[in-house]
Formats: sequence, structure tokens, C-alpha cells
Amino acid sequence: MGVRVNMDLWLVTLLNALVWGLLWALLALGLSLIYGTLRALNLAHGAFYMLGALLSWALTPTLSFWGAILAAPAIVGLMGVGLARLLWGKREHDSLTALLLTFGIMLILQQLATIFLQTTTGSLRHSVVSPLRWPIPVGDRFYEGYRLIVAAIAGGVLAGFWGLWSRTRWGCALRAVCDNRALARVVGIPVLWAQAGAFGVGAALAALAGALVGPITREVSPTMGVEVVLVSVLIAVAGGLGSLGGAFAVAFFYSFAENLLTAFADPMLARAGALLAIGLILLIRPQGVGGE
Amino acid sequence: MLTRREFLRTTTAAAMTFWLFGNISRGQAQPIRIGHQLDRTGAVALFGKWHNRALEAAIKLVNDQRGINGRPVELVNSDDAQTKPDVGKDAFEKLVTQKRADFVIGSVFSGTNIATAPIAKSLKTVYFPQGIATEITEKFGNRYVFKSYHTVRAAIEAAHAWAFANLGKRFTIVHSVIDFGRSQAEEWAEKIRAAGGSVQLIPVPFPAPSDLFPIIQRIDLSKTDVLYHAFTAVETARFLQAAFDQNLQSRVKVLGLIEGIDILSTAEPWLEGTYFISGYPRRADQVPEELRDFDREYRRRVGISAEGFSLENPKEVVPIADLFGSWQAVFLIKQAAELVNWRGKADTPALIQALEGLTMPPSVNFPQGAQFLRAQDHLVFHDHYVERVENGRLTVLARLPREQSLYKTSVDYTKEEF
Repeated sequence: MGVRVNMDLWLVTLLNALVWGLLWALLALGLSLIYGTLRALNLAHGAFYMLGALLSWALTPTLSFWGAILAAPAIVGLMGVGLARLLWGKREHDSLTALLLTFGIMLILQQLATIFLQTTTGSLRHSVVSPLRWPIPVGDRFYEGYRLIVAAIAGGVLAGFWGLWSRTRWGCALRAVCDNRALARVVGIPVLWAQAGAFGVGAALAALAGALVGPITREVSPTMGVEVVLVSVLIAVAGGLGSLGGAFAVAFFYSFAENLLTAFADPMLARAGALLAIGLILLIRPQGVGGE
Repeated sequence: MLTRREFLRTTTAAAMTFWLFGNISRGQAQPIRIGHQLDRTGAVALFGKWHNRALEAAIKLVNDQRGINGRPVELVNSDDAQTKPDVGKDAFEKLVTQKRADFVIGSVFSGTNIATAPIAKSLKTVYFPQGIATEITEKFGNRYVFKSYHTVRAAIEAAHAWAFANLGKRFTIVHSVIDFGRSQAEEWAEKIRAAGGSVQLIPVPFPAPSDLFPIIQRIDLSKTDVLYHAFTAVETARFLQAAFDQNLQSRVKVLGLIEGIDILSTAEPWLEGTYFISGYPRRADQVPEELRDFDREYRRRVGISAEGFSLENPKEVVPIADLFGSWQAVFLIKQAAELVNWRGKADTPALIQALEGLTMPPSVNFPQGAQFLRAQDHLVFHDHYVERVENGRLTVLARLPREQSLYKTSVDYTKEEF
């Protein structure tokens, strides 16, 4: 009986780590893509994640949950394109200026979300209801079927993105911009639009993660992205900034570490332990897993 | 026949007399200022809003009852205490030193109460904190601090015997590490062990992790009769939803303090069948017969429906029991101030002595029922209730008399100098 219970616990914990690994990968991949093309560590990434969750929550009564998780990333993605054109369209910024710019965007978006919620609902934290109740028995435990759908969607989007990145002209252009912007411009690649597109895609990926995660965390609030951006940045840095494969690998490493530590060690130390593990990666490989 | 000169002389004299008397009477009727250490933002903002409304209503009633010692009472709100101890402490200081509050009622946040208590003593101002962490009437309280509504320890003292007899003695306690959650876990653990039961403690960081699923997985159902939760409102909702995904509500008894869901509607599937310890029933038809007239008047004046919702917004749940802390603090001040004919801060030591050991019969001033204020730790003792969510509505299962919540205190503030 004891062995069986432990097997069940292992199974649901690993399943959950897989789901969160995919969600962290969506976030870290977007962050890494933006850094690769714009050389900007996007601190507004958490705000895009929050906007995705908030828009999806706000649009659900009109569009249904499934319509809302399509619309929210599209809106945030377009907004990302617009912001990139506005801020990087006329001039390039050094890393520090870019960091401050994205920090400013984060504060503005967070404040706008606060004002929106305060004026429309009078409250800053709202419960999110899962679009379906589908408990899947795993021995003595249950695993929520919605999470498996999240894994399927996130996995599908990541695979689709990987296909575009590695097998299409668009992906080729983006890779060229990442490698050498001046050279990319010389060979006729519209660098500004490529950068804006990358920023938009990165923002949309973050928003999709936010929209999907709402029914898991069960709440939306203007500050929900703050913690997320810190972890995402660490994952992207440990993955090797600009390295999509590295970000992907560290996202899974982090998720498995956090879930296993929570389930089998001490929940109070789980996040700190997982972050420490990322720190160890950087200690061993300061340029990150996929960095050169 | 009155000449013009006589007319002018008479009317001028009359006007002078009215002006003079008006000024004298205004001087006599200097208002008594009750300050509210008010959290407008942060985790307890919704509670802050309703406590403020209860204070407005209570003060209006006091003024309808000819004020305190014939003087009108005025509510003075602090700057936003922001659910932050340091900010709340500064707001208290400003209330007393700049806005000249004579008494202060507030914050709902225990951390702020603990930070404020020493300032209340140094400013010699009677303070009625509204958080319910036990420590505010124990090691962090002092002679100027009075608790007009229960603490965690009083609630658990009142309900533990009922819980062991009716729900079981093998507890798993999942709790937030903030004062509110930690003090519940400690109180219960002591009671359970003393009763020969078993307890597993699962502390959860604050703010709680985004996903509570891995935390829920730590609960060992083979060793659990009662799953006890100790979180603030939004986190309680998240925790109980995560527990519902595991079907826990139908596999074990789920218990918590009403403060965890005080502002939540109970018409949710994840609340069905769960148990709560409360200081007062949410629904009017669950209130004991002998208190119903006072209950009706209290609800009407604060703006609460018979089902416990706001009269202005029928979707908004009012933390009805929690508000007694503020409402009754106003009437404690009135009762004690009238006993000692309080005129100003110089009379505060006498007022404190009058409060120590005060008994309050049920009335519209004390609609929660008969109560007494224990002199040693300055805590009010009142009845408690065990409620269960049945068909989406809180239903009273048991009324626990106030004597049952008496516990041995480790302090005696009456021995403290003023």
C-alpha cells in the first residue's frame, strides 16, 4: 500500500512538473527570443503574462474561456509589436537603457491594470474558475484534466514555434538578426520589423502562459507577474541569454526541482531550493547552459 | 409702543445673548474623536472598508443616544494603513498627534496591531486592535490595548472539544506562515496533543505559491480525520478549490475559522460540507431567538441583508461577525466613559480601570449577546458557533457558550503602570 501511494505521489508530481515546465518554457523562450533579437532583457515580460491572464479572465464571459485564451495572446502580441516599433523603431538602445525602458513598461502596464480593476470591479484580486472539471484518478489521488490540456496546448505551441524557428524563412531571418543585426540588414532582412515581430511573439507567448495559468493558480491580480518575471529572467539567464534550447532545458530543470522539493522535502524551502539549483548552474557555467 | 431705538437695543441684546450662549454650549459640546486606523489597500482592504462603515453606523447610533456624556462623537479616519505594520503604526501616531483622536479602533491586520501597541501606550491612547492573532492580548499587548472581539486562542478554546467529539482527533493543519495562520496552527497542535490526537503541520509560505497542488499532495489521508486550513480570504478560496480537485471535501472533514471565508459567498461547490468556527451566524435566521431584535437593528444600521450580503450590492458578502469588533468598541468606550464621566485624556486611566472587568448585557449596543471583558488580558469573551455549509448556505450546528472560550492567560495588565 505504502509503495503504491508513493508511486501515485511520484506520478502526479512528475506530471505536474511537466505541465509547469512547459509553462515556464513558454515564458523563458519568449524572454530569450526578445533578448536575442533586441539585446533587451525584457522586465515587462511578467506584465505581459499578467495581461494575458487578466484579458482572458475579462473576455471569458463574452468569448468563452477557449475564445479568450486565443484572443488574449493575440491582443498582447499586437501590443508588443506596437511597443517595439515605438521604442526601438527610431533608434537602438544599449542594454541598460533597454532594461530601464522595459521596467517602465512593466510599471505602466501594472498601474493600468490596477486602475482598470479598481474602477470596474472595486477589487484587485479575482478568482478564476476552471473551464472544466475533469479529475483523472491516479491511484488514490486525482490529477486535474485541465492541466493536461494546458500541457497539450503549451507543448503544441512550443513545437509550432520550434518548427517556424528552424524551418521557415521567417525563422531564418530571426536567427540571422540574433546572430548579427548589421549583416542581416545588409542582406535585406527588415531588421526593425523582425525585432518588433520577435517582441510581439515573445509577449504573446507570455500572455498565453498567463491565460492558461489562471485556472491553475485560480486568481488574477495586477501584481501576479512580479514573481514570474524574476524566475523567468533567472531561467533565461541560466539557459544562456538568447539561447532558446538552453531556456527550454532550464525551464524544465527548475520546474522539476520545485515540484519535487515541495512534494518530498519542505514547501517553505522549495522555491529557494529550486532557485539555488539554478544558481549552481550559473556557478558551473556562467554563460548559461546554451550560452557561448 | 416700541420705539425704533428700544427695538434695536432689545434685538442687539438678544443676538448677543444667543451668540454668547451658543459659544458656551459649543465649548461644552467639544466632540469626542474616535480614530480609525484604516487599511484602504492591501490584503485586508475589504475588511477595512466594512469596519469603517460599521464605525460610522455605531457612531451615528451613539449620537442618536445623546453622544457620550452629552458630547457628540466624531469619526476621524487615518491615512491609508496599507495592510503594512510600519505604515499603520505611523498612521496611528498621526491620528493621535495631528488629528487629535481620543481613542483609536483598527487595523484588521495583526502585524499592524502588534507594531502599534507600544505606540498606543507611549501616547497614552486606548487602542482597540481588530486583528485576531492571540499575541495582541498576550505578550504584545499592554494596559492601553483592548480586544473587543475574539482572538484565535479564544475561538479554538471554545470549539476544540466540539471538534474532537464530532469530527475527529487526527488533524492535518495546512497554514500560512503569517501570524494569523501560524497562531492557529500552534493553538490547535497544543490542544490536539493534549487530547491524545495526532497532528501533521504543513506550513505554506506567504504569499502562497501560485500552484497549491503540490502542497495538497503532502496531506496523508490515511492519518487525517480533519483537514484544518488557516489562510487569509483569497488564499482560503484557492486552497479549498485545490482540495476540491482532490475530492478532499468528501473524504475528510474540512474545518477552519470563519475569518478565512468572511468575505466569500458560500454558494460554491468547493465549500459544500465544510465546517467553520464563527463568532456570530452570517444568516439572520440562524441567530439565536433572543438576539434577533438586536440583530435586525444592527444589520439595518450597517447595511447588511438577512443573508449576510451588502444591501447596496447584493453580490458583496459582509464580514458580519468581524465588524462587531469595531461596533462594540465604540459602545465599550461609551459605557466606560459614562461610568467615570470621562472629560479628556487625563481621565483615561480611570476609563481603563472601568473597562477592566466590564460586563455587557445583550442590547443593540452589544448585539452579539452577553459578554464580559476580562481584566487581566483585556479580552472580550462572547459566544461562538460551529457552522457548516449546507446547500450553499452557512447553517449553525452548535452554539458554544462564552465560558467555554475562557483560557488561562499569561498576563495581567492591571498590574502595569499607566
